[in-house]
Amino acid sequence: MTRARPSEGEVLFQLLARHADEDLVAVGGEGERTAAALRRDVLAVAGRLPRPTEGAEIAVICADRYLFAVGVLAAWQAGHAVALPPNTQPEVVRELSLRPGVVALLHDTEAREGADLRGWLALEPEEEGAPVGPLAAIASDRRVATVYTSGSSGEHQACVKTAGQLLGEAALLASTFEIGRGQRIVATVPPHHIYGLLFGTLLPLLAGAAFVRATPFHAETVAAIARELGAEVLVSVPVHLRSLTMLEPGAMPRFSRVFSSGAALPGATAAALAERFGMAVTEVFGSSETGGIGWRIGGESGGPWRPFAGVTVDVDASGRLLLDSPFLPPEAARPAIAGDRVALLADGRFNLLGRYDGVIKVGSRRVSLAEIEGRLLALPALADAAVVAIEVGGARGHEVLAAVVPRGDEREPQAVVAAIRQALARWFDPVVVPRRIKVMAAIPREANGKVRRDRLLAALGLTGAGEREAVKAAMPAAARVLARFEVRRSFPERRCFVVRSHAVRSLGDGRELHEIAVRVPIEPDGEDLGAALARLIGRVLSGIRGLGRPTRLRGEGPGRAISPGEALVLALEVERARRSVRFMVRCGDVLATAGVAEYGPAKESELG
Amino acid sequence: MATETSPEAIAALELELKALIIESLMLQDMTPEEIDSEAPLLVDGLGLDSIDVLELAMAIQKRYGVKTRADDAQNRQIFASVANLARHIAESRAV
Repeated sequence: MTRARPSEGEVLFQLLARHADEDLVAVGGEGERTAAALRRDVLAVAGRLPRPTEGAEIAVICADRYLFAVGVLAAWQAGHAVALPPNTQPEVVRELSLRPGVVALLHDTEAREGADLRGWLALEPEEEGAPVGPLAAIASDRRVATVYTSGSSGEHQACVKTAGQLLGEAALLASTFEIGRGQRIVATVPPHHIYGLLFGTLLPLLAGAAFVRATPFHAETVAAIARELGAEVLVSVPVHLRSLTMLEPGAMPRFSRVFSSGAALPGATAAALAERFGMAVTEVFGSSETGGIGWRIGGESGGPWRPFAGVTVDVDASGRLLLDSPFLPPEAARPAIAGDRVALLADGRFNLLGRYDGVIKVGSRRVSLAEIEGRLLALPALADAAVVAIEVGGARGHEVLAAVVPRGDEREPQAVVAAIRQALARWFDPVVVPRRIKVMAAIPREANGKVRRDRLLAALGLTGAGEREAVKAAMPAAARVLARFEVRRSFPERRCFVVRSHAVRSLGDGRELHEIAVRVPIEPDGEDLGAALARLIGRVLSGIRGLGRPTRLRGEGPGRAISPGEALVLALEVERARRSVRFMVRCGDVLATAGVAEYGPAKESELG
Repeated sequence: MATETSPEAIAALELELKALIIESLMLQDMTPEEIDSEAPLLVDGLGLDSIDVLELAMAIQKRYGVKTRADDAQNRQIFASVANLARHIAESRAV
């Protein structure tokens, strides 16, 4: 494999080349449209756009995928690139439209500045006009789009794409997954995101296929639209796919291909979809910066990822993914270092081991904590603010929390929180707006002004004031992972039972206190929570050096019922020398249950 | 569209739904009393997002056997407030 830049050989991309004039490109919504109608609309809009200048971009923000396609293709036809926002919240769109290079904003909403495409197209004659020729071919080295995404710095990162990157990838996807003429694609993700852009819009336009104009996301809506319009390909994300599992088996049409991207598809969701609807989900791995990297079928239990044709993956000494790909920016150094840790297999496939650059996702949306914090600190009503993310498992993955200090304000905390939500909603996708916002008198900052995560979590009421060093010393990482694995395994079909933190404190007099914060799954179908908790306690104890596995846990007192969805704290008072363990399970301030761990003579006997 | 459901039954259902929202969305720092039946559930009010709405839809389907609708405009309406949700569940069950 060559590591040099991709060849300079001129490749031309011709959109709609595989569609006959009467082939449909868009179905549903405001009505179906043929390839001929799309070309006519594209030329009409292109004719009204300003002349292209060096670096000029047209921002396109449309909920209707057909209008979006008209806007993007018209910009290209007129010689422009397009600018696509990270979300469509009003302030983000405004900021995008004010960027120096952005010469026009095309949209399909009431409220925004710029040009409403619906108005432009309504002026065109309804009757079929004179036949129009093919759209202008686009050279592979032409810059065609800037995709904005959340970076870790707080500023939106601009990923500039050439036609070779963007259309080259769409063409590769069409051939890899054998999507062709006449097929219909429904997407639950909006067209301005790179994933929705590639799979939901450009792929069908290159492959001779059609897309559904709307972007449904409720389970029943997805099923109804797919049935009604005969969609065979579903483009979705884990959180939407998970909600499909509540439908009856007969409710969902048979898809020939279901795509998932943005976050790992939990094995349980993949299994439920396979069992219920015979759906084998194709997961695609990539990022705005790198383009598509690889794919696999079957979710987390589906085994290793296989790189796309033409993409070479390697791993550096510290386990980071090294990448050479035609979908990297042409000028990028090769191999590029991606933000993921991987393990490479002999046959070229790879396993993902997590991120090393700290990028977190809520649902499938990338989140920049620095950006949220920056916006909070810019609010005149706030004197101070800090943002933290915690892992919650399931389809959400992470949850964002904020601590805020009002500026000399006597308002009710609820009113402060409501005002903050409203302010943030102008900038952020609602999924990214902190789920919990706590009003406090002061943020626990260090002398140097920094916020320590553990102290902030404690201030938010999420853990005891444990110290990470102590956790590391007393609790090997392997033991923590073991505990989590054990509990995940006990709820194979459900949202996992996440161990959120583990803190250890010395109580003096030879005793230490372990505090483990866990979350009970919402739908622990049939599983006995008491037994699962006992297993967890057993696992944690066996991870503490010198204790071994208890033979049994003896409860004291009646015990309060533990409900699904609750956050619990397991407190373990351990005196190693005497091999004595007291446990308490608290839910908030209420003691749910308590007791002691017993160690029998038979060290290896199983915990009941 | 009128149903037989009494105001008391609706009030009880609303309270149940608030508890379900707190439980299924892991908002345990809230109490049912803190949720206003008429207040918007989404950004301006409780601040639920699309992931919450899908979680809640699954919890409601599981508990009441009531599904979302085949039209997202209707779904938006249904998930607008606890009162709307209660009405939708009562109507769907009354059929």
